[in-house]
Amino acid sequence: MTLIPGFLISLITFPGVIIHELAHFLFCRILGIPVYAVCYFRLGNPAGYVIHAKPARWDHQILIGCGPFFINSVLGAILVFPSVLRVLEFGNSESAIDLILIWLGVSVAMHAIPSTGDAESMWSAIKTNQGFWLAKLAMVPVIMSIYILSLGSIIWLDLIYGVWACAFLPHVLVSVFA
Amino acid sequence: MENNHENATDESAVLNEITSIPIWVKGILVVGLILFLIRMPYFRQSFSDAVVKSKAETAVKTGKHLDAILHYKKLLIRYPEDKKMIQALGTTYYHAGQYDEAINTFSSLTDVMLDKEDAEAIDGMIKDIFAKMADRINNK
Repeated sequence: MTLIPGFLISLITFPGVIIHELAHFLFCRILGIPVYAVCYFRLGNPAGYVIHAKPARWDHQILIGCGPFFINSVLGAILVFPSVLRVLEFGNSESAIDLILIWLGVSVAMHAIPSTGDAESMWSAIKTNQGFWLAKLAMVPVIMSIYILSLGSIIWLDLIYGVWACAFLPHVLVSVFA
Repeated sequence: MENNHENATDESAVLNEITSIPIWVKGILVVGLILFLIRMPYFRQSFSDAVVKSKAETAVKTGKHLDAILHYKKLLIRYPEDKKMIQALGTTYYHAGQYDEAINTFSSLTDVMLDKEDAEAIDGMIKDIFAKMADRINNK
């Protein structure tokens, strides 16, 4: 287990931090929640943040918190698409752009996992009185998973997820057509 | 390492709402899009090669050595320096009983740095081939 300072990881994978905050911002905009401050990247803890109005609906808070999981995962997978098979299957690349795209894609995908801060916001949302209890109960394992996955970054779980998210679809396609 | 989104406090009434994405963030997105578009035309060939490689590996597993040889030879036209591919072709020749071709294929790895396991596996196959050849000569 190699411990590397968090700010260094954020610096190396800064595109992922930017897209993570952008995902929060976009979901706020889609849901009509005013955003008052956005820091897309900084050398600090947290590496980025979004300050917005409190959503009137608890499920909107959940969507805002989970936004990065969807957007970062999909965008990361798309970015590596042209290059991942060449590099993973044949261990080489025709162009430095392949390596740049893989770095971009994995950086973006590894920041798909919402942070413990995001999980806290979601936890606060389901503790309110509004909403159907069963739906809120269903969110409990999701929030618990986010806590576990966020803490798992110590053992590079976020990187493992990032690489998996990027390699999954191309390999499935190869298996289907082979 | 923490990212965060927070709810604004009661002072939010005097805060200005942010509605747009900064130009530098858009610039990063555009750069990513351009790089993606530059490499996307090459995906078809990479995908096709990966499919052929998968077919070769499946053919090896199912004992269809001749099919596997055809697939590996096709791939080696595009990746002539790929030592793993060369080793796979040589190994397939060996299992198909085409010993001369196996020796010729492995000989192209003479000056190549191999993993210890791979080198030992190739060495074992070559020794076995020569032993079989020696048996044939002795039995004539």
